[in-house]
Amino acid sequence: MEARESSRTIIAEDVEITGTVKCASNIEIDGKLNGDLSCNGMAIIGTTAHVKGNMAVETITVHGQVTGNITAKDRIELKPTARLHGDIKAKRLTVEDGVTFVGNSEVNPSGATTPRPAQAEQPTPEPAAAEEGEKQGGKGKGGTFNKK
Amino acid sequence: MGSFEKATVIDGFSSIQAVRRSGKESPDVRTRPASSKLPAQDGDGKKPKDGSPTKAKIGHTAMPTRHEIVCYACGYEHTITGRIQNAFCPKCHEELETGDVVVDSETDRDIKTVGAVEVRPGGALRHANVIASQLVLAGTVEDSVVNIGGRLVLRQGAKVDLQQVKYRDLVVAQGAKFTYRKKIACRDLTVEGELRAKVHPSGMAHVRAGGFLRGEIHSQHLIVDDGGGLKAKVFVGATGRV
Repeated sequence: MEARESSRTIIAEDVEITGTVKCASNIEIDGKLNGDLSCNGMAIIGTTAHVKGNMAVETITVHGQVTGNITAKDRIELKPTARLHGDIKAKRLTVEDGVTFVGNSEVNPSGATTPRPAQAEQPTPEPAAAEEGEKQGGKGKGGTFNKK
Repeated sequence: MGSFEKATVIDGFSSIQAVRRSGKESPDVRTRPASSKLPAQDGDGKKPKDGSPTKAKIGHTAMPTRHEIVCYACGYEHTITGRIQNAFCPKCHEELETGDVVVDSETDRDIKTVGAVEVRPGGALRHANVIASQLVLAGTVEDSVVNIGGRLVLRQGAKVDLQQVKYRDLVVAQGAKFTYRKKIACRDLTVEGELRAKVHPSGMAHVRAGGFLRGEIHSQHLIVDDGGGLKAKVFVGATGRV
């Protein structure tokens, strides 16, 4: 098991693959991949990598270019040189400054499926309000006006 | 220690030494963290054996706080270093009110200050004119004209129409849940609580750990800390400007 976790498949910079890649352990892509990637371990998309296809991984770190959707069971990391055109879905997300990312993101670290908690179900008045503020009634005029 | 007593010229370095000797932490003096080391060390560089804190140990650079001031009379932007006491606009020579203002009940008074305004829970600005450098909002703003030169901080309980407020940076504080159905345009956006909106920050958008941004984001720069949530349409990077 330890050997499997530490092993890593490397697709070098001068390698171009067309087709689906399935990998049971970790993989590092520095070349070109035209096709989908399925990986049960950690995937690293290097700075020189170009991936056109969807990726389903456990954890992924993107330094290079990806055109396609990424679904991670655990974590997606987008490093400053990353260029991603596609949707992402993961439990956790880290985005660093410099990233180019166009797509939909669905990352909810708390894991709640409903978008809002029950107490926030009440309609929010137009145009803006915080839910908690609704219950706080206004006081009479002429109240204190303090300076610190 | 004795060498400090011999200082005859009061320059910046001597002032810093004096501040450190006094042992008081001035709120307007920023110091480098104790963990960071600088080349300048005290005389022999020995550590105290009993673990007691060293007095007057040089090794930290204290930099006075810089305040970016926008004159509410003429709009001139300038910087004041150190503590703000009596501030005059260098351009129009208006004496500027520098104090912070706390509003904890309903008021319609006009507020002009280069400091911060805090509207506490239960506080409300109604039919008021507010000019300040920062607004910390946990209450209500209604039918008011609000011009904030710096940050607008939305805390839990904040209720405001952002179209009535001019601000530069927006912060959704921890615990706050804010929904806005129109476009939010600002310079820097920091999300520590929960924000549901279409945001167009021209500078940096930062979703901190525990923060959650829903809706849509168009920005040049985005940082999402580990533990931050993002469920949105994202247009970030060179194509982010819309």
